[in-house]
Amino acid sequence: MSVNATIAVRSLSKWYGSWRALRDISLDIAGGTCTVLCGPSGSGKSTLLRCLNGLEEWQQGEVAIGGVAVGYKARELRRLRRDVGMVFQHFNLFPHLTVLDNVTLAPRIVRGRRRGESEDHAMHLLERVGVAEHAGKLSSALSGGQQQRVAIARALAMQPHVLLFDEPTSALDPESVKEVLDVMIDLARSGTTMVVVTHEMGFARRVAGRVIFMDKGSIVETGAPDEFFDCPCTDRAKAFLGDIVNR
Amino acid sequence: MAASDQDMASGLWSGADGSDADARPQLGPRQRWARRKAILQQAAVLLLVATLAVLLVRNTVANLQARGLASGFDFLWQEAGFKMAFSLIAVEPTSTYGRVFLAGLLNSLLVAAISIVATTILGFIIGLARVSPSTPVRLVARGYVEVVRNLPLLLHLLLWQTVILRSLPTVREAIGFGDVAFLSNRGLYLPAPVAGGAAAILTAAVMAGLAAIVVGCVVRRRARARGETPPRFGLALVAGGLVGNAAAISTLDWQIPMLAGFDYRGGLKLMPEFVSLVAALIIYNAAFIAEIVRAGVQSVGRGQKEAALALGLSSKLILRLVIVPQALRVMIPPLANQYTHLIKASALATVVGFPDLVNVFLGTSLNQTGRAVEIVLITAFVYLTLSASVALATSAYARRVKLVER
Repeated sequence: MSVNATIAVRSLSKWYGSWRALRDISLDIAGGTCTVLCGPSGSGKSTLLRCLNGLEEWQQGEVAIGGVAVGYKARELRRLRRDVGMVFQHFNLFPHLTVLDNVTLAPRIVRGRRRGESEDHAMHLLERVGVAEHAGKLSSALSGGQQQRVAIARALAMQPHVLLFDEPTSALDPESVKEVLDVMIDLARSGTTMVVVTHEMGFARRVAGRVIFMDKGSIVETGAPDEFFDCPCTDRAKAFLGDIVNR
Repeated sequence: MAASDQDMASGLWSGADGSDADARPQLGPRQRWARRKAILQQAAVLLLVATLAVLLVRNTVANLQARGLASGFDFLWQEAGFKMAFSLIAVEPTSTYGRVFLAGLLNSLLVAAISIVATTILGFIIGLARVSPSTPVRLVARGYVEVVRNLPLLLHLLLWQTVILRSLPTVREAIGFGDVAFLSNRGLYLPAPVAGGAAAILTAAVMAGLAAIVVGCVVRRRARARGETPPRFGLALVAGGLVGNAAAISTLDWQIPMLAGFDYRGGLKLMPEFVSLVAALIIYNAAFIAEIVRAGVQSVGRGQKEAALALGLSSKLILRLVIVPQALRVMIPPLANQYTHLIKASALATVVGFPDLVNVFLGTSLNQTGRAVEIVLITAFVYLTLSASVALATSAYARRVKLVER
């Protein structure tokens, strides 16, 4: 992956109407690391993630990836998004296309790759995430875990510098969760720059370089996973971790 | 099922003869009962309908005889004795009612075909404008829909017939479109192809070309569906068909309408009645199709657009590759409905005096022959067949693009 995949967020604030979803967020994420964003629901972690590739607009502050500001013009955003992959909670595969076409669509249309070349690459990726035998099926015919792995392959097919995950396992049954997490662990270990919004604390502990805890639109605490999980500094983080463990 | 654990169960439930427990019986008890009930109900309904039909036929025949009216379909071979103002096949006063029927049917089909294609295109444009990010575009589209669909179709028709076309200039001052097409209050004049002597050969060549294109496309699609690279001859067929057709069409002489005396000669003259009927059908139905398109587009989840945006696709490509293909599935049933409505509404041709099937057959021919029952039956059969064809075509399409739902 690219050397310059650093993410910089400077005093970012966002309002939905009069409600403030993000409060003055500043953050630096180094390339080649896996960062986990966690916090109670409504804490702004998904909103922050969606600002990184411009799916959300904001009112104050700046975001830059690889030294390039995340702009507001459609053209600039398209150029940025080619290099920033995203995996959604509800997979959002294109149900009218086959698995293979889901993966090759963007490389062919956006990057102008030839069909044969992009299909070879797609098959390689589908093998990596373990769903190659379903390549010819309509994506809507797959199970949730399979669909999410295809979604990861679809994001990887663009050879992005950064991968964003928005609660990738929240809509899955426990068995599928493991399938997807295994793929994500593999990606993290191979040095992909990843920002992951998740409640999977086991995943965070195993591969995250850093855990960022958010609450009410602010970053409350950040640290290495061992420090964060074993002795969180703030009461809010303690309460949150207590809730998760006792659930 | 492990037999040792289930001795009692298998003895109880799978038959004392010890038949294979995995063999599925053809039907369960509930299914058997449902089937028996269905047969009984259908038989009862069939009996009722048959009784009514017999009564109806006997009553009609008796009435016709009592009044000394002739019946039968022999009139179709009798001379009709009138001319049609517009027809795709030649109709002379010596032509039979059968030929009048055929000419009327072709006129109705022509109106329906042109209107369906054009109203679909216009409806899509307005429907997509309804969901445009630009507020002025949305407002204009909304205004069109709200005004057009809330006025009666008849009003549209009369508006075109009496206001718009009457206010067009006379033939001598006709509006010219690049000196090949002309619009006046006597109709629209278009250039028409003249095939010359080899018309049949040319038609056959064009048909063969079209067949080659269709076969080529099917071959390529099938191969792709199997995940194989499409064979080269598929592409060759499509290309050959296109080139062949282009060549065949280029050999045609286009006859351009020329002003001669008080009217244009040559080319194709579309009478004002035709223009107003088609215009009204297109504009009226486009408002409904626009709403169908809007509903279809809005039925596609927001996540689809976000996923496509996140891959770096432009809004235009997202609409074409992601949104519209999925919206089409939702749109098919109401679209079929709208097409059926349009075909039936084309019978309003009578109001403006365009010689469609209803006008010349259910109107003039019925008045002259008095064969009301026969003519109403034939006309009803035609419209039922047309509606059924639309339903068949759209449901075949719906099956092809069906999603696998889990």
